[in-house]
Amino acid sequence: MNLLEHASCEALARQNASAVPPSLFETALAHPVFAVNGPSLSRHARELAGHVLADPDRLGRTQCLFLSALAEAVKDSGLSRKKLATMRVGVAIGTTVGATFTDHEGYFSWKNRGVPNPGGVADFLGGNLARLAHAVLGTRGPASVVVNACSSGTDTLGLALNWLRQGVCDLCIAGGADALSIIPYHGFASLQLLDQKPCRPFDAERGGLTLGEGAACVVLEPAMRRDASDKHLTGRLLGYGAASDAWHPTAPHPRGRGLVAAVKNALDDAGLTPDDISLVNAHGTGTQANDKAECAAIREVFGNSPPPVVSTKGATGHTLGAAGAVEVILTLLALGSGEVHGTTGCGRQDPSLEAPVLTSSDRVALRGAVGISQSLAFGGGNSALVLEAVRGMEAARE
Amino acid sequence: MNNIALISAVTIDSGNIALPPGSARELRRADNLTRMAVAAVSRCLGQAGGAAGLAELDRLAICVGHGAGAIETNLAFVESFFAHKDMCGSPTLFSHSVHNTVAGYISRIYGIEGPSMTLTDFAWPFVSALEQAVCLIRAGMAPAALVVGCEGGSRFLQEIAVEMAGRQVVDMSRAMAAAWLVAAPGTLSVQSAGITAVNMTPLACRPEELLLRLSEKYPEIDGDTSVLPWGYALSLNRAANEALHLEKDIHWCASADFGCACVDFQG
Repeated sequence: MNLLEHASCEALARQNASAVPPSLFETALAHPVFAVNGPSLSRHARELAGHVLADPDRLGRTQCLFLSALAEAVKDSGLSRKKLATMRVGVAIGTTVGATFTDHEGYFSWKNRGVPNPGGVADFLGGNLARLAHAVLGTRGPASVVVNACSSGTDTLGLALNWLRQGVCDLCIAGGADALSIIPYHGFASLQLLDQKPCRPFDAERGGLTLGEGAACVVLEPAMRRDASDKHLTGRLLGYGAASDAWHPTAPHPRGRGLVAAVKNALDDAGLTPDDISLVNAHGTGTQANDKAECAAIREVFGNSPPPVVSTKGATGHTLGAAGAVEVILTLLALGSGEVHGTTGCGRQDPSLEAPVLTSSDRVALRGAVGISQSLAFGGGNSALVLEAVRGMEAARE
Repeated sequence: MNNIALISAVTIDSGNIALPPGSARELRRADNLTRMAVAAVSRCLGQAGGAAGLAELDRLAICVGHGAGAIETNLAFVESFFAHKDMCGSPTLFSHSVHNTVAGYISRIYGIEGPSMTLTDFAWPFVSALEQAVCLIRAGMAPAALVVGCEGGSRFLQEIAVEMAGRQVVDMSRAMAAAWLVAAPGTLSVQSAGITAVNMTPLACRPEELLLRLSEKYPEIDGDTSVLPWGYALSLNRAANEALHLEKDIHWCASADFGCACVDFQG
């Protein structure tokens, strides 16, 4: 998805989920998905990759989405390939599908007929998104692929923040990418976590999550290298926190124990208090357990009068390893514009949730430019980032 | 840059799994990858048992690195939903095929509530996990960290590797796990070595090289590790124990067409 286009056309106020396109995979299940329309490899990405990749059309869908976001992020940063080549560039990318073997035809060919087909395995081995970024940009530096399930995208920004603070690199590219795939589609269906309708986070009638796909990348530099008048500066990453529930393989702690710790750690890291926060972009998947736990955690941290709380997954779907990075950009867009739309798909809030959230008809002015984007993950992982918008992203490009 | 204290370092293979007491119920559905990793952590913490202050640490970090990871569980899940005529498949297999399953199990079994980071990389995933553990400790996000490298073994990848090379050059079918306990200086009162630097430089290469590892070089150890994709981890573990117990300064380095990885120890 093009996030700027997404925001400027107010796509966050509508839903466009549909049945799984047969071009992606065939299934007898009827849960809707949010699929990217049009080519997954953008023109800019094709130009970027064309320098080094003999056949960009051989790339997997996650890799294509990632390169599209990467090309857009690098262009927006105002940094040339020539300049990047002189810097120590760290790359940290989150994914789930992008690091999963997906050549099932090749696997069954080996399993049922004893015919090994190395092509799919070569694609699996060569699919490392961080290495791919270095290859197409011609850069050198650390490269990490974070696979913390649904918090991966959030954690890559935290990892990059640590690298920059410790002088490991001069600049970092962080983000996440995931394409729709039959594996998580059937996996979440097997856990009965997919809604039959487009997801309705925090809604009284919510029935689970809806899978989406996408990619998002950000370019991070030490704060002293850009002043506030720099037209390419769109926001600041002020703090990062992470903590584990130590509770259940797939369900969050019912009181959001790990999330509370992650948010408090992120605020401490930023040197801020809950009163300084003007917006919480929640994980808000639309599952019963997530939304309950998350609202309990928000109440624990922010008390009875939290700042506006929204989930953007009603508009994007759950993009898994990309979600945290996608939501960082949506958070900055909202903070930069000074207002936020309510949660798409949430018509009437579940009254049992412990914190108030914005419903789909709400449109609220924000009292400040600092917000939190938070993620929860299978395995009990929780992460939070404190972000500050410098100004509206669209204004920054004018 | 501050040294990081190395407290204990172990590796295990599938022949010497000893799971922690009382973990049988928690691990009853776990796959081979997870059981190996938990067994390595159990031995690592056992080796560090005398470390004063360890029991009081409630915010350990968990950093896990693997290459193929849970590929066999993932393929079993795929088989399960194709076998059920495109209905759903096994929820247990799906939840165990998620990349950070190992970190989740370790967190639950040991009640660890600190940050966790799982990384995937076919080059030197254990070094990737170590690099992140050092980074999290230096950032003040945790006073100490468990560093885990694990591979569950895959007969499928083994046969693909033979097909790629035309002969057996690597044994992908065997499982292994490594676990280290590292800490901020002065956190634990116990004999330790220092880790002064962890550096990794990735290089572009043919994807097949990441599986076959024909160009890989690392300090040799006893026994033939040339066919083991994680032979580097055994070599690095020996270097760690020499720094720890023989108090030697060691510069360990591995190199290959896909890059290089270096760890500096101060004995």
